[in-house]
Amino acid sequence: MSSQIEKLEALLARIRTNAQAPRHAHEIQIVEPETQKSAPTPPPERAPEVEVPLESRARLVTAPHAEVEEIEAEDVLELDDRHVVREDADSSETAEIQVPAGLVAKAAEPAEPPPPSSRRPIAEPAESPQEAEIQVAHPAHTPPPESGKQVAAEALTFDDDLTGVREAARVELPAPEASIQLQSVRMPAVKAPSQPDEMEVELPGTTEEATRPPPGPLPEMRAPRIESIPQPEPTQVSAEISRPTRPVAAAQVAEMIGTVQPSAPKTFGELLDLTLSL
Amino acid sequence: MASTVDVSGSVRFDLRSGTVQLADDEKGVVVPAAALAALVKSAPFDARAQVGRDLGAHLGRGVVRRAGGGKSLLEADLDGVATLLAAELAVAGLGTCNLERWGRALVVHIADSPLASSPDFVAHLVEGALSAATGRALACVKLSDDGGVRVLVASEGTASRVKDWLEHGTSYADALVRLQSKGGS
Repeated sequence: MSSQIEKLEALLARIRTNAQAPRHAHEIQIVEPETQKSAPTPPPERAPEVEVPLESRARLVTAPHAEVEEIEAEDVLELDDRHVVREDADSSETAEIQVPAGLVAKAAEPAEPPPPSSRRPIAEPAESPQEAEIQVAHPAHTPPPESGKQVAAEALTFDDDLTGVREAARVELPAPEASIQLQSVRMPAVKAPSQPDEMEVELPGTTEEATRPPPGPLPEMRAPRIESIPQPEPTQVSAEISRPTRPVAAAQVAEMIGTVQPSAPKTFGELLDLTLSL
Repeated sequence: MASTVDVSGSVRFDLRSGTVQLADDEKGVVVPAAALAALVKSAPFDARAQVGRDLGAHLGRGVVRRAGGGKSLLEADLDGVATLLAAELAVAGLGTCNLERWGRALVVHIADSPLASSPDFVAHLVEGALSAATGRALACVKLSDDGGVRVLVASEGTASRVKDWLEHGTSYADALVRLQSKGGS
């Protein structure tokens, strides 16, 4: 057991040393294809001006990885249920593992702050300008998101409110009442008040007395009784045309009595003869 | 018949002899109309009638002469005859005339005559002119003297009958209508 712990500690130490190794070793360096070395090389002599091909010869080459210490199979520790430490278990039952003090001090150090580019939860929008000022002055310090595999949410389900399409609630209309034909009610002609006479004097309290209800309980008011007028059944209306059926006898409407003698003389002699014949 | 009436040379004044010659070479006298009217009015009826017929005969002969003969005159239309008769009246200074036909009756309307104050004289004048022009026996009776003198041309019997009606108060229009029904008998 102790040997395994030692191996684990050794493995942890190597991992930490590797983690502290300069990261630029993993950065991508641009090197010339001819010089595979990372060592600086003297600048090449200036070649005569030759047409530079359009195609760049630069290639992306990754720097050689640092040597990874191979872990032997012996160093691999397989964990099983026995290595699981239960919190609710009694302290007497838990196995105490002796950890070096340095390792414990490192473990006690505060966690590395999250990079500034880490995602922050989107704060809810302020509902009022005052609240917005408070949020700007005192931004909510929310913990960075936990690293690790994010479990995808289950099947996305959209609320109906997202689409804005809702099924209208059925409004039950009140049942239409039976139509009742009302009799035409007209306001009775109100007689215009006559001009007060010069000698007429309005006594105080007279009008109030006239409009004051009579003493005693008011008579029971009844709703007006509305009787519908019976409507005759609609019949088809058409024009009645009276046409003459008997022919009108038109023979001998005018009776001529006698004849008109032609008396239009064209010459003076004819007229003279007519006038002398009278 | 000519559309216009040429009256040139109808009256010729011979100043050397002091005579006035008419169209038919008769001698004439230029007298004031008022003097002639006064003379006619003061003359008895038969004298007036005879003077009127003689004066009218002179006019009638001038109409026939201008018409080209009695036959041409009878065959001429009413307008032409009216024009010839008016021309002769104008040359003599006795006014103008129109011919009116009332049914079968012929009425001569004399206007602007200086002798209108003696309407029966005018009637005798028209009677003499038409008798001389046509050669027919006819009689003329005065119908009215309002706005000129209207004279009916008829037979002697009809003229006397109409004269009787008018003397009994019948208007000349009614008398003319009455004549249309079989002579108004």
